Amino acid sequence: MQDIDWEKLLTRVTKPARYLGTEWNAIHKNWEENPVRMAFVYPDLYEVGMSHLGLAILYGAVNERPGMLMERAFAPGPDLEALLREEHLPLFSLESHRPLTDFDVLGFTLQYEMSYTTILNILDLAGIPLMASERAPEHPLVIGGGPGVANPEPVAPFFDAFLLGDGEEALPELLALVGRLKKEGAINDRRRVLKIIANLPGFYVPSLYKVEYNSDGTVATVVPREEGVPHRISKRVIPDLDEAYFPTRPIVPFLEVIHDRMMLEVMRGCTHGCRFCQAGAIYRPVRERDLSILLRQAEELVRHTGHEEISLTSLSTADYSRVEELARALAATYADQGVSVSLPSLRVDAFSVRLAEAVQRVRKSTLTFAPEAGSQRLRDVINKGVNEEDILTATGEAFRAGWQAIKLYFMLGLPTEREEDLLGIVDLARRILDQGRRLAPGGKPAVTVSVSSFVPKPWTAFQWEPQDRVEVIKEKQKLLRSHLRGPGLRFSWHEAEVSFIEAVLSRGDRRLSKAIVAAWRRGARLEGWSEYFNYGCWEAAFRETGLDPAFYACRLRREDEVFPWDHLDFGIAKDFLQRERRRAYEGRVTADCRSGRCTGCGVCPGLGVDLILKGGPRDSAVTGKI
Amino acid sequence: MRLRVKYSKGGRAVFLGHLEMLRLWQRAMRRAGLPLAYSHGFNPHPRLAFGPALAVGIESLAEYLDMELTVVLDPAEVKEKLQAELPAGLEILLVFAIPDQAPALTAIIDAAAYRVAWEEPPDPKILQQKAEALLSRPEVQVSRPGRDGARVKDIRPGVFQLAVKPEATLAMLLECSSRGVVRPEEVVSAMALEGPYRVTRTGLFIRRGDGLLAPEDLVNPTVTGPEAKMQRFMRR
Repeated sequence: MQDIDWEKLLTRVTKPARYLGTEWNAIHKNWEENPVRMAFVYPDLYEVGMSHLGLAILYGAVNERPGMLMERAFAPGPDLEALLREEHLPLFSLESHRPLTDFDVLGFTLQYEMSYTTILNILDLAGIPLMASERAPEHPLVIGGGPGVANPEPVAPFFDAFLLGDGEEALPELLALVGRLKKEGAINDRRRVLKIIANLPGFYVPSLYKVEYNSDGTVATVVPREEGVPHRISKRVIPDLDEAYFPTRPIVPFLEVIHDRMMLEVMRGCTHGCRFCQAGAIYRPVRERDLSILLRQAEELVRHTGHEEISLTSLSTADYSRVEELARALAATYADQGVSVSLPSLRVDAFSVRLAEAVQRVRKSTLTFAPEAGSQRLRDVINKGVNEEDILTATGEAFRAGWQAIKLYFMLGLPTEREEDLLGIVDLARRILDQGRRLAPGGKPAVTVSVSSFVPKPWTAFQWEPQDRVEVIKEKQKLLRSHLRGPGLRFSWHEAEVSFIEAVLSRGDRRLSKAIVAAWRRGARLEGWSEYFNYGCWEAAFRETGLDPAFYACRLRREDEVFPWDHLDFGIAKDFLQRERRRAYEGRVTADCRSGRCTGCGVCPGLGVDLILKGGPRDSAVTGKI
Repeated sequence: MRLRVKYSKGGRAVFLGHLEMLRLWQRAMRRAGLPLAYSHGFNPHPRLAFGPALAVGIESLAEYLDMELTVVLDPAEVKEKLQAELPAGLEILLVFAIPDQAPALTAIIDAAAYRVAWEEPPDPKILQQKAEALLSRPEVQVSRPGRDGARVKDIRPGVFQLAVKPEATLAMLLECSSRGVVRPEEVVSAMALEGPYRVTRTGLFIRRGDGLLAPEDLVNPTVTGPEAKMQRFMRR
């Protein structure tokens, strides 16, 4: 182990509190007594990574087991990176401040496409070859997990293995296996190790699969290179969250992080079935936690962290069957300890507003809703399941309850979108503003319209759809900008070029890895931050590698096209998605499967799991195909 | 009830800034089950007040904070409970009750003592000469960066004492009040001393005539044990 004067290094950076590793509840396990060592690497700055529930879960789940330890590492800030490069020092873990090469396993979470260049930067700073094929046996196994593995192909050459689905059981299994192989002295036979991993349920070893392409550039087949490797890899699912590990002693950061609060995971998955939403697809089925378990976890969280806010997290918390009881109980129990309750995602309805009103002790200035599209026709296309009346009822309720500012999230570039749909956004925003003036006389109501650009994602009904070209996106943004002017109206949008690169990478294949390397070599990193994103790096990278980004982002895909991720199995049947796509074009909505009507997505029978709902009025899930 | 806490800050905790310390203490108190009082009003804030700010990266043997609790507790119990909830590098030295009307720490503290230790100790004789030379100057001008460019300030009135200590360390007593603050680095650089060094804040004081009182002496004259003496500056 290199003897580095960390203290001196940290006196030279702007936010040393990012790198201390001595936060409350950080776990410093004995290195010698725990022969299997993993570093969880979040490919972004500390403030982003420490807001991630997955890190807290896996950190606790691994460290509570004997014989293995997990430490953390994050992307260094640009100032520390410059120092590390200048002094030829390797990137280190926070707990023991050891170089990442000291670990047996490095696990990256793939939360968004724009972190891919940062993964390369971290490998480089750690002194690890970028390509899995170029690594020696003494290098750590580099694995990946998280939503990015819905299609990990663009980054496949950088990884030894990916874990599909829930990690709290699968990851300790992998580490136990690594421990066994280390003990047997077999860990240095990398080929053999990878083949064994490829047979662990949920693990995908990309180097054991061969991709062949058609003459038009599309994928022809992805098949195992050898015998004894599964043809298709199914994601892991924790069938019952009540039985699963949950961290009630999460690390309490010194610094103010993005989501600086306790996280209580009320359920996993979402039943709404919005047709653009990847998370709603890949985290199926919905599994709710028991109310009594959540109350106990909340009690432990408050006692062990001392945080002042508890957030009820999930993809759509207002859907949790017992949300009202839970939120009210928590608000009542912890109010006198100065702990408030927050609901991160409001559904567009009056129930959600009343719930927020009931639990939020300190009135937040803004209430946010996501109608996603500006016209009823388009909301039906995307299966958003809300109508204008729902929206106006919700915002009306909010104004009456004293909120002055409403923020609305929309997407532009959705399939079948026409100008009238965009103008519908304007119309809706103006009507809400008028409503505010009417309902909150004397106040200063404000409506912010935040418009992102649609990025077609794997495992969704829109995975065949083209993304609008950058020029078209910009035209649409211009149209909205010109109409969303005037007192009380604000408009914000996403950079079109960022959405374009996201679209390229999200449905890309392995050939794109060359472009990612090229963009990184030109300085791309920390691209989730607008101040660091540089489109020029990518333009040059595509030119240099001869890859056409529009082929990936803007091409309408044939219905029978083989996708780069077709050998992965997230439980969703491709024919279900095709059916959903046709219904989208017909403007037909598909019911929420909480209603008891199974939509036939294939997850429950395919993965041998079930929807788990915890009582309440809407809990009447029965199976029955439509 | 109001409690005054004296604590030390060392190890990796020296890298925690003021905001981080504020959050850290609030959370430690909630974990310890100590009910902190909050101000009333639209945006309630905790009744927690620190002594003079300490620059990030500097170790301290004597930091202070005042807290107000909604219940009456034994200070010894508070000390024990709170210590159990603090991260590495923070150690509580004293907890004592103060009157409700006691002035704030920042209103009474007006001097800070520092120890400067060089990685390669300089010649003590030269150090002594330089210290004397600085003290004999009528004026010591330093340049301070500000919002509208650098400003020149005379720090000499705020340099109360300088003394060379064993192993060629330099002890300083500098002004640290609402009227003005002299930083140890400014003194080192005004003395034209080179090389990497480490600064430790060794005490915060209230000047009374020729003497110095620590905040604990002021309100609790019974604390006279070795702990209190140890902190006294320049007494050897």
